[in-house]
Amino acid sequence: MADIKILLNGKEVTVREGQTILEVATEYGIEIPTLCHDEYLKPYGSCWACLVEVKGAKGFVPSCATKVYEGMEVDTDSEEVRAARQMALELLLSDHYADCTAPCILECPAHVDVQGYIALINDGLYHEAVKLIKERLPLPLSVGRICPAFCEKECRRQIIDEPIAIRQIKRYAADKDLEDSANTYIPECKPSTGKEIAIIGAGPAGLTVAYYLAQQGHKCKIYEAMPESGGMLRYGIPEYRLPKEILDKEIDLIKKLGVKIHNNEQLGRDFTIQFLYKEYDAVFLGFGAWTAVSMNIDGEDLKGCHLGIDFLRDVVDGKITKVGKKVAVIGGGNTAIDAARTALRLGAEKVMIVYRRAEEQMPADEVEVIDAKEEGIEFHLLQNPTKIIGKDGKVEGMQIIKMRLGEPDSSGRRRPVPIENSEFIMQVDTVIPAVSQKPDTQFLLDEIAKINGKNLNLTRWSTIEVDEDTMCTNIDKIFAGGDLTRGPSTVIECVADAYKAAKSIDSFLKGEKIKPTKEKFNSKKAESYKDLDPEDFKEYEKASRISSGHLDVKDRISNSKEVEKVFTNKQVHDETARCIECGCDVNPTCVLRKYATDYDVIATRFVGEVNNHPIDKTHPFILRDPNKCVNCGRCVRTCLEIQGVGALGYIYRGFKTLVAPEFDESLMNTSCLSCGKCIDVCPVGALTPRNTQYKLAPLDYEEIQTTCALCGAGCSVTYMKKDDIILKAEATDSPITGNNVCFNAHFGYEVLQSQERITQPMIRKENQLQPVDWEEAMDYVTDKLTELERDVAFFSNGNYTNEDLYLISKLAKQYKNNKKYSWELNGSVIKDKLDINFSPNPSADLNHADIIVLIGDVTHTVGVKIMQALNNGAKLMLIHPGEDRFARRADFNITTNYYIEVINEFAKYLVEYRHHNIDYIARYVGNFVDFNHQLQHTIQTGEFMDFAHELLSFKKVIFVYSESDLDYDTQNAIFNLSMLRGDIGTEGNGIVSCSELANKPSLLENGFVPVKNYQKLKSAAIFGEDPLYNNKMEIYEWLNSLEFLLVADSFMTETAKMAHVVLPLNSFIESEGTITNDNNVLQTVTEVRNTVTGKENWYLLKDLLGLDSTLEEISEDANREFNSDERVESRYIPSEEETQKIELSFTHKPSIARAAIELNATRKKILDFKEKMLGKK
Amino acid sequence: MENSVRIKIGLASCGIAAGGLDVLEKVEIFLKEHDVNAQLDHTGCIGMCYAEVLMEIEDNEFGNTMYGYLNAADIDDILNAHFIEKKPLTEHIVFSDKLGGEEKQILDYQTRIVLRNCGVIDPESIDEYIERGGYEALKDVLKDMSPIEVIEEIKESGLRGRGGAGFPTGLKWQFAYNNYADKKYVICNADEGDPGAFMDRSVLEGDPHSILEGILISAYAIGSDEGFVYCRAEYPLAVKRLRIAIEKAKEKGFLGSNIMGSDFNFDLTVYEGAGAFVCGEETALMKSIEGKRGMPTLRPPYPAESGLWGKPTNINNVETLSNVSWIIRNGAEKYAEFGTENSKGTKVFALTGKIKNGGLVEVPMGMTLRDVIYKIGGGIIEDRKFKAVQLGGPSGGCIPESLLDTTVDYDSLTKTGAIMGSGGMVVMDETTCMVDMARFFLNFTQDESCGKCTFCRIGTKRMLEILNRITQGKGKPGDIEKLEGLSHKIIKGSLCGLGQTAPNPVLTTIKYFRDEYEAHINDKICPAGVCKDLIKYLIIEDKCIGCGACKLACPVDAIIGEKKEVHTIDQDICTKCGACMTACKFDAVEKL
Repeated sequence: MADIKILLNGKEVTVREGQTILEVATEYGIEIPTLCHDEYLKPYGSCWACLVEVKGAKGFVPSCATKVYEGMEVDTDSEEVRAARQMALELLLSDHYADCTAPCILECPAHVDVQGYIALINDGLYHEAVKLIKERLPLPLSVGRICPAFCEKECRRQIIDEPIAIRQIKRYAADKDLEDSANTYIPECKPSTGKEIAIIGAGPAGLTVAYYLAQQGHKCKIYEAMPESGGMLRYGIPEYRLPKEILDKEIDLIKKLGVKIHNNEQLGRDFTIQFLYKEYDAVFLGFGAWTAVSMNIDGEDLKGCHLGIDFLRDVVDGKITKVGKKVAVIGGGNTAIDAARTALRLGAEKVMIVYRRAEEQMPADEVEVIDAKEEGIEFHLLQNPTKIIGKDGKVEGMQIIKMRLGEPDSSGRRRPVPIENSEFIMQVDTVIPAVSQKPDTQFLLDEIAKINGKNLNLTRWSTIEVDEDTMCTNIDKIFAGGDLTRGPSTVIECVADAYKAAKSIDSFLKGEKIKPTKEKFNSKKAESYKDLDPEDFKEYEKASRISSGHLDVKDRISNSKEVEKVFTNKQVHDETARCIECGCDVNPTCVLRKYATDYDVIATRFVGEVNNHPIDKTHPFILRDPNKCVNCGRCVRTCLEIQGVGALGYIYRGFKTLVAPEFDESLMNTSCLSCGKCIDVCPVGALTPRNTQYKLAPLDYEEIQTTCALCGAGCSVTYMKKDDIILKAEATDSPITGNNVCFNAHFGYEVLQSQERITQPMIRKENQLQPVDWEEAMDYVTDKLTELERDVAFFSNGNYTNEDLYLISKLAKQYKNNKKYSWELNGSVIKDKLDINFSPNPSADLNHADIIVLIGDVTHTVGVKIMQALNNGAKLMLIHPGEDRFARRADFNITTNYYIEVINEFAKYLVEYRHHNIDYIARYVGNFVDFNHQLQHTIQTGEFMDFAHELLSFKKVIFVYSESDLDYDTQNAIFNLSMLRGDIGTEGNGIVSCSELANKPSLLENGFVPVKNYQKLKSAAIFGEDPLYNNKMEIYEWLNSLEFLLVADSFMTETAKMAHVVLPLNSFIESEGTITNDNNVLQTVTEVRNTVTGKENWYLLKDLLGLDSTLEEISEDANREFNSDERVESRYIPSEEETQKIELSFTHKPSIARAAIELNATRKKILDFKEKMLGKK
Repeated sequence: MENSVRIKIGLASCGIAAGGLDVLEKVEIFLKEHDVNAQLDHTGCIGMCYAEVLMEIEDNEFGNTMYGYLNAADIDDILNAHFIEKKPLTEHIVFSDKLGGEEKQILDYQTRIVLRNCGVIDPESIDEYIERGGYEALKDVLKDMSPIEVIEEIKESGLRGRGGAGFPTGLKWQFAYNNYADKKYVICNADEGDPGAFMDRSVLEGDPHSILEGILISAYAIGSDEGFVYCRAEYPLAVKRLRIAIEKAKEKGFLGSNIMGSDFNFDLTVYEGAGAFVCGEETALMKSIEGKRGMPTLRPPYPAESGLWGKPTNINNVETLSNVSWIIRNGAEKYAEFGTENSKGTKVFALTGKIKNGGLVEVPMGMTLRDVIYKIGGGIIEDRKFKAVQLGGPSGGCIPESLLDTTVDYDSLTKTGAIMGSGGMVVMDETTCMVDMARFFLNFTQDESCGKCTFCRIGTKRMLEILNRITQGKGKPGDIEKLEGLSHKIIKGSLCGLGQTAPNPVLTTIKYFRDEYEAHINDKICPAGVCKDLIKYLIIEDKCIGCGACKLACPVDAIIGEKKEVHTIDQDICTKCGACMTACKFDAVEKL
């Protein structure tokens, strides 16, 4: 293509003719958003996110579809363009009835990924869950016990029944993580930056800042005024809610990051702020709000009167060990309740809470109020003390006035108003006013606290003034957060502040500009669950919230034991299963969300009717949420044009237009192949994978790319996993297979992760297979193999790596007859006649053919390549026994069971009408005259003459079939025909053969042959084959007669059940090595998850061989032996040698030409699983 | 032809709708009973739809006599007077050679090229078409002209596409000709979908062979051997007559192999659409023929390069094609005599709305709108005040009174913000609310969007919601600007004509009648008294005599008042149907 010049955003650039604006922009590093563009599909132009301005064009131009021309002037980023893109996105989002992020996460002040950890806990991944929690909250052991759980208040589950018990679930995971101390999650710290931070206060805020900054490699020193650390967690929260032992462990985990805590050192008393400013690179102030606010009434100085927070602290410190008999606590907050319950535990006979408003207005947690009531604490509501009465300097009673509720105040709560003349006296001997706290910050106003002539700015509530987005104070280097800046609040809010502060401090220390993190765009179904229609949730069955239960009252009020019990395993599983997964599964990767964020979209700009469709959960593998669809049509086009299925389409018109199966039916009622390709191309979360075993969530998964070893295509696939569990899969772009996978790679991994896998060796003892350890098994097998002087025949299927097959072959070589068979090998005419192990034409040749003749079934990926060729203009002749997905695309459709007759008839007319390649035949065919005689005299039907004539009119013809599907004779007939054409192996002409065997070339190279005369074999070692799967009596009898039978497989097959010894094998997702695909391309298999057998396959084989090599060495040997350099995409090239002629053999056998495929257990299990889940079995 | 009598009855859809078949039956009976020797024929629409049923009698005695506004009951009297008593009833005559009637001027102001045979010949008779020179052009072309010469002739005539966009037809053919391929297609777009437009239907029903001849000539010119007429299924009569025409043309050897002895082969199929407006868009239309969902595709590639099934395709609409044979027979030069510099020939308009003489008119390009509306259309019903004329249907725009002297040609109309479009011309008077009118058209386009482009699918919906709000009295300051903002982006950010033009009615009404929008939004008033939520009916105390007629008429019992006492309307119950106003004989009900 010629180079041309265009003006791109005012700059002249050289581009190639034929490129689109989008391609050019990408090349020059300009990002243009697009939702509907897919490089594997023709430009479509529906989303208009990619619009640009081209000088002279009438309107905007979709850059995905517009080709450049000489002198074109393009503007990709003008104000007009940005505004239009923003509008397109806003319009899309105005009809997007969906949540990006679950409300629980948004409601949590620290935005802990609740949905994520609930899923991980449900999947049994406690350490992963805690790791996720600790990305935002370093104190799950504590917060899991005492948090008021903002998350639960907006939990959507309560539309159905009750909110999820999120706090307790979190606590459970944190406890579990701690329990399994060897694996307790401790984050890694970056190398030291040499920077040091002073943190004042070892409470929730200070500990949080230290936790995050230490991970960044900064040295953190915490100064704590109190003798013990934890701040309010220790001194404000009673033991029965948060055992101090737990708190200590939580603080220890933070200390493990190298954080140093200096206790008994108080700012303003032991050192000055100037000192900190001078000595440290940054300072974080988080010393809380510790000064109890008194009620300013008479008698507060009497003995027996303690201010709330002082009281709790003194109890922890041991300064108070008992209280009077009748205790009154004043206030309605958590501190008041804590004080009351603590007083009870210190032996008070009667504890009363006196609160000036009604219960409805009480700020304390509902749960705490309930617990307190259970424990017998009396609530005196709408009462307020006016003075404390004393005798002999000791409290004797209180004068109380009754109140009523008046007009709402600025906080929206109804104001308490005293009722005149309603005073009465209450007899008490202890009074604990617990009305409020504030920080002690007055010392910061002193001259001595000045830095560069400035004091820190305080608010009128004595808190430190900060920028709430960055936690910066008015003095550089000094940051603050927690109760110190917000006044008394919750732990989780302080943690949220501290997280922000840590980010700012880190930026500051790195010399970056401190700016608030740009929040990602969040689409919301509604602001609150209350605004949602319960109808939308009717699909969920009701299931009550599970309670872990509390200690009985009698067992708890006389001591400080933790009141709340812990979930059992089952309880936590059931409770996490209740989560309805509000947040979108793809929110980390959603393109719409990214663009909405980039373009500062305001979702409420265009408010109007919103399409609301039921979510289609009928398909076991594909979840379809039409509400998230942006009508980009990528799934529709991919399904029809690439997969050739057309399960999805557009229905309705106008605003109601919807991508759906026809008649808006379930995806199950379509011809869907469950290949999952629609999921891969969906730019949003309208189509997402489902997992039948595990709960999925929008998480950052670990991604590992490998080559699928379940058929000969060798598709590149990326598995997404957490810990050692694969949860999702996706096709990866690959030059060999394009961007494609089928069901097997996309969902089949579930089978490989199932409980059905065998993981332990077994030896037959007393006619029973019994599990043994590896040592015993290896000794047994080695002995047996050595002991057997006679031959042992080796069997293997093609789904193992080059290395594994090489080693099995090496094992076989130890016996003089060196017998190597594969039940799966059908016999390959190509191998026999042309002496090559791969397809004579690479599958890429399909794209060069004028007509493709497809005989029978082929592998999914070859099918996709055929579709692509058809899209590019090739014609299709289909020879098939019935309807299949190619039928509608076929230009010539031959429905028959007898392929061989059709092919032979084609051959007859080819010669009869002189379309055969006489020169080629003379040069390469040895017996043409005989062959032709047979051909012309045997074939007489004439039934397919018209098709033959059509076929003769095309120049370039490719025959495609699968060696796993066609019997030997049919393959042979096709070979004959192709030889007569004399163009086998040339571009666009010849044969593309594929196979269900992932590594057939290697199997053949290693000398494995189709099984014959097996009845004569006396001992067998079968790797990954199940000859008994279709219950043939003669095979059973043979197996039964064997002197020795070793079966190595991933599943307990019928054959394995007959073995003397069974060795567990890893599947390809647990293997490392190389494989060679149908086109002779060497590819890498990567270990996605750890071995499930405890011994990698190659390691096991190496041990059997008594070798001491590494995998690299084996790989080198295996591939050297078979010229790995030549393992690239190959085609058949006829030999130059004069003497080499090929004998054609005529066969004419009108039989049903479909081979019985000897499925190996893995593929069979996957097929069974698919059919079972889809309800076909 | 001494005593020959011929009677023609207009039996296009308009004639049938007005009772044409009953009239036909009556005439048949009369002729039989009175033994009148007359040839009775069907014919198509002559354009005077307002005056249907029309019956034309040709005889030696009175020449041509056109009776109009007929119904079956009049027939006996009229025919009796005409044939037996020989004293024709002049009050039923619309125009005639000898007997008075003045409405011929409606035809006199017109230039009928496209409609040359409509209402004149029997559309189901190929012979009558041939008699009037039909298929001569095809014969000439096949005998004497090369494809390039045909294309040059059409180019020279200045014919532009009558489907809306006005692309030069000859050039379009040239593009299709230029692309070599083993197969090429021609398509006649007969998917006339604009509300208020029916000129294509009239030609299909009244003169189908002129379209066939045009298609054949275009096919010959570009080198195609197969074509389709994509006709909306809502035109059953048109489909039927097309099929008859195709059959007859095949019989005559005008379709099929070796047409008229030449080596030109051509097959034509009628394809019925399934009711999607967007299928009038050429790329969507082709998808629909291919059996796929009618959704427009990106251009380029243009149909001339890759159209139906990826083959070069020429697609023209009905009106364009029916000009073709006339041009070939009369010469490009003659054709170019009509019209203006850049808009040659004539244009057919479907005149509807608040106009006296609603129907089909064909005028030379360059006539003013005022002449079309007043001279041909006869002005506004009840001589009310003209307010605006909507041109081009839902894709077009309105033109206010101040611009009535705009001439009908592509460029002048585009300047006003309206478009020529397919030729719908809806006349509106002071009783039309312009906001409501814009809402009506937008409602149509938004419903008919194929749903592909974001701006069109959701943008028009949001515009419609705003317009709904405004007409319901819930308009907010800023709504007009929001409408304008959305409009501009929808126009610039849509693939096909539907989206690119959908906001036109809104934009032009805002341009010329902004005050009406403001009255709705700011004052919560609908000046035309149309928007129900913004009007109320009140009883004027001074005029009400308490007769109770309004109370009786009210379907929802919203009127209270004792006999002989002043009545009042309970506004909470009133549904604003206006029945009381109609019922009141004393003008005591007013609409505010």
